Amino acid sequence: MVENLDLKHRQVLKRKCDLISKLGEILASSGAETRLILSSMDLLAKALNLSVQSAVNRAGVFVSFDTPEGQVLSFRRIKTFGINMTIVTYCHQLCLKAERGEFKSLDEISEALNHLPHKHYPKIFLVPIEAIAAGCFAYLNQANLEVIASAILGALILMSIRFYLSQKGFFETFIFMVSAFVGSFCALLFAKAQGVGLEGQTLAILATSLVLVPGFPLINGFLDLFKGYIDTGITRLMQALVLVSSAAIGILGALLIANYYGV
Amino acid sequence: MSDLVIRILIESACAGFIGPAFAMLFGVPLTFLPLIAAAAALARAIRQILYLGGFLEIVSATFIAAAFISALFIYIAPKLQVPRPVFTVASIISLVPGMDAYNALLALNELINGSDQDLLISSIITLFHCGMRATAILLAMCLGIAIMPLFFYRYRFHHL
Repeated sequence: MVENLDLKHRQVLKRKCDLISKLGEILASSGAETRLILSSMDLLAKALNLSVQSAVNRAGVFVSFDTPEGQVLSFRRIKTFGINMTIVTYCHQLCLKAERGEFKSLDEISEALNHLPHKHYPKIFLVPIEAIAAGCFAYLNQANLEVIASAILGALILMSIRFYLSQKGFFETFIFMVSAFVGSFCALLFAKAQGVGLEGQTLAILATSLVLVPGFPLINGFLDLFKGYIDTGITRLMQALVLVSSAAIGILGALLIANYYGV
Repeated sequence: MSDLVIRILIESACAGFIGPAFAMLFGVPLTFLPLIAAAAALARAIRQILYLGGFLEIVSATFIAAAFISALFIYIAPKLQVPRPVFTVASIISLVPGMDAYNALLALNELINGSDQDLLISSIITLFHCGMRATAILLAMCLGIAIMPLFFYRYRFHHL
C-alpha cells in the first residue's frame, strides 16, 4: 500500500515537471523572450507547489527538482524557433490563471496546454495587407505613386512566394533568399515598365524587401542580452543576421541578373 | 496647417498601418491590433517631430521614440495581462532604416565589382556612412525597447 502511494506521488511529481517543461517548450517555440519563458515556468511551478530549477537554451528546456528519492528531471527539445504571439499571450495568461488558483486539477492545465489557439490570419488576407504595408514603407521614404505601385506589386509576389515556400516546409533562410530575389526583381521590372528613374527603382526594391525585416529575433535578442541571457541573446541576434543576409543575397542576385540581361 | 505637420500626420497614418500589418504576420491577436496601430503612429510621430522639427538628430530621435513606446507598454501591458514584446516590436517596425541599409548594400556590391578609383572611394564613404547610420538607428531602436524595462524591473529573487 505504501509502495503504491509512493509510486502515485512520484508519478504526480513527474507529471507536474513535464507540464512545466512543456510550457517552456511551447513558449520558446513561439518566440517568447528568455526571461518570459523562465518566469512563466517559475510561476506555473509555484502554482503547482514545486520549487524547480529551470534553464533554456537553443537545444531545449530543462526542468529539475529534488525529492528525497532523488532528482526528477524533464528535458524537451525545441524543434523550431517560430513566432506566434497568440500562443505567447495565451500561455502567459494561463500561468497567471494558475497562479490565481483558477485550475482545479493537473488535467485542466494539461488540457489547456494541449489545446493551444493555433491562430494564424488567412494567407489570402495577409498577402495584400503586407503589400500595402510595403507601399506605406515606400511612402515613408518619399516615393511617388509609380514607385508605391511597384512596391505593392513586388511585395504581393514576394509574400505569395514566402507563404508558398513556407507551406512546403523549406528552410527559412532559403525562403527569405528566394522571396527577396523574386520580389525585388519583379518590383524592379514594374518600376522600369512605368519609366521610373534609378532612384525610384532603388526605392521600389527597398520597400518591397522591407516586409522581410526579422523584427522579433532582433528585438528579443537585445532583450535577452540586456537581461543577462547572453547565449540565447547571441543566438537570436545571429538568427536575425542570417535572415537579413539571406534577404540581401536575394536582392543582390536580382540586381545582378537585371544588370546582366540589361533589364 | 504647414506642410511639415501634414507630412508628419500622413507618415504617422502609414506607420499606423505598417505596425498592425507586421503584427498580423507574427500572429498577434486581433483585439490588440488597434493599440499597436496607435502606438506605431505615435512612435513615428515622435521621431519625425524630434528629427524634422530640428530638435535632435535621427539616432537620438529614434531612441527617444522607441524608449517612449517601451515605457508606455510597461504601464499598459500588465493591465491587459499580455507580454510587452507582443506590442513593442510591431510598434517600432516603421522606424527601420531601410534606405540607409539598402544604400550600404549597394555600395558594398560596388566595392566588390567596381574598378573605377573615384567610384571605389565614393562607395567606401557611402558604405561606412550609410552602414553606420543604419546600424546606429537599429541599435537605437533595440536599446530604446530593451533599456526601459531595466529601470522598472529587478531580479525576482532579491536574496540571491
